[in-house]
Amino acid sequence: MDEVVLKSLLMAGLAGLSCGLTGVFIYLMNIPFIGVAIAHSAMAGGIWALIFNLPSKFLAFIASFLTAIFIGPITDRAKTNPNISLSIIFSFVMGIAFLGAGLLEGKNQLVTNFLWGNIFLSGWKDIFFHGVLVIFVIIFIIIFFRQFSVFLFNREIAATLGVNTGFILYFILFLIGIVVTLNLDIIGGLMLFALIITPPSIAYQFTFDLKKFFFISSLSGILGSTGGVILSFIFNLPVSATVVIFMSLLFFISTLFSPKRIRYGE
Amino acid sequence: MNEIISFYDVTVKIGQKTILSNIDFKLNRGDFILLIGANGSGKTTLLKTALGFIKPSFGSIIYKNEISGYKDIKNFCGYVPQRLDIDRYFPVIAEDVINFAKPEKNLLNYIIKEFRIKDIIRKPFGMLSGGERQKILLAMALSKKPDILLLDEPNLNLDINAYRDFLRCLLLIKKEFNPTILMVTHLISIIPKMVNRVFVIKDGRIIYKKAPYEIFKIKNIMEIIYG
Ligand SMILES: Nc1ncnc2c1ncn2[C@@H]1O[C@H](COP(=O)(O)OP(=O)(O)OP(=O)(O)O)[C@@H](O)[C@H]1O
Ligand SMILES: [Mg+2]
Repeated sequence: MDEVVLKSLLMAGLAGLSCGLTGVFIYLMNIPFIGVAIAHSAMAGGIWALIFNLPSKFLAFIASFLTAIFIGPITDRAKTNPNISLSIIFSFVMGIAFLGAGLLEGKNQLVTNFLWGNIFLSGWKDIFFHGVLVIFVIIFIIIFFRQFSVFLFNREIAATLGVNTGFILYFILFLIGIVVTLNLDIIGGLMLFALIITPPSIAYQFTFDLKKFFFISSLSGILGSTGGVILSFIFNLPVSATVVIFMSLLFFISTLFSPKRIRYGE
Repeated sequence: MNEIISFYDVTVKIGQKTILSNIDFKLNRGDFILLIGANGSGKTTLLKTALGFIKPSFGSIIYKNEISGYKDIKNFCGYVPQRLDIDRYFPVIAEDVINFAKPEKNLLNYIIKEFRIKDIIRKPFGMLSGGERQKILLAMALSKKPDILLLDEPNLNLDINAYRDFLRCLLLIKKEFNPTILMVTHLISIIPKMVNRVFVIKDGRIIYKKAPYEIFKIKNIMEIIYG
């Protein structure tokens, strides 16, 4: 196999896996807009770092993590409905990102990568780094599984069962920040979110078991992204687009065969 | 005495608003207290303050005669919140919910048998009826063998039979493990056996602490409870 194809497939698989895992938290905490806001902040951070000649990935991470910390307190769905204020925040961040992109127009390939991604550029070092990260994420999920599951169920109950809910919340937000940053120039800030939210939406159709939920979400992430990359090679189409479209297709198919929908008639 | 938790002149303010004023009481081991009051009178806030989720602006809470860090108090409490926004398809079954509290095997078997929940334990939690949910949550709260059970309107959305069944489980626990219970409710037509005191709360103040049979002697009790 062509090395570019191999590397792209590996990278796509890892991206799908890390996004699929992270997506479970975003989906079950019911905070889709936080995911979007964090993705767009990372994009803005990365782009503005290029303007000032700073390390762009690092700034992308700082931006996404600051956003996460700033909006963390409003993620408690028992208290507020955060979606309105968040959609304003993410439009604002989007504006900043595009302002930067406009200033840099034509001057920098990296800007295009941050917006649209470029999976074909991934090197072995990136793949290795991403792989190590994914292994860490999986280990953390296994170690803290009970804490995560009761946290996702209900934070107050979690607190009475000895779970440090503040730690778990910021750990999850930190994780979202890292995964978003790592995938930013692979998938691109504009489409990254589809890769995060679609896999758990697929898992949601199939299981009442949180372990299986993580598994199906990861698997859907891997299938969707590698399938998209293959389509892009075969038909010579823009890769991020084929990934997102293929992923959405998987989702539509899954709703057709959803045991939950069929069994409970909704 | 056998004090388990005491409020000393506790006042809670959120922003400018005073939600609880001068709350002062002691709960002894094995007490079963009913907390009644109108909507918005501060019942939930009182439970959350006892748990340490909300810090008193003035006054103090003392647990087992020792000033506890608030973090610690909740480790000794079993808590069933008033509302639980769980989606019907949320990937958790009833058994998982009880297992969150890591029950001992014997205790778990005892609860499953006596609560009569064998048939629902494999069902998705989100698909349970209101009464089934409350029993599972009670089982979960009990599973950590708490000193104190804090129950926030467990009768909400339950019909009378489901509530009776819930009380049956609660009284069973009371007999078997004798935890201190602080239960919020609107429903005074059924006052469970073993309740030894009733606190009436109005506009953030506890205005009566009475024995159950004395409650109906309060002139405008219906007005106080139903606003
Ligand atoms: N986080 C908060 N911020 C501001 N005000 C609050 C907050 N939580 C509660 N309140 C106010 O405090 C008062 C008491 O609320 P609480 O939920 O304790 O009442 P309750 O007695 O439990 O009512 P219900 O019977 O409806 O459950 C209400 O007026 C409520 O609006
Ligand atoms: Mg209440």
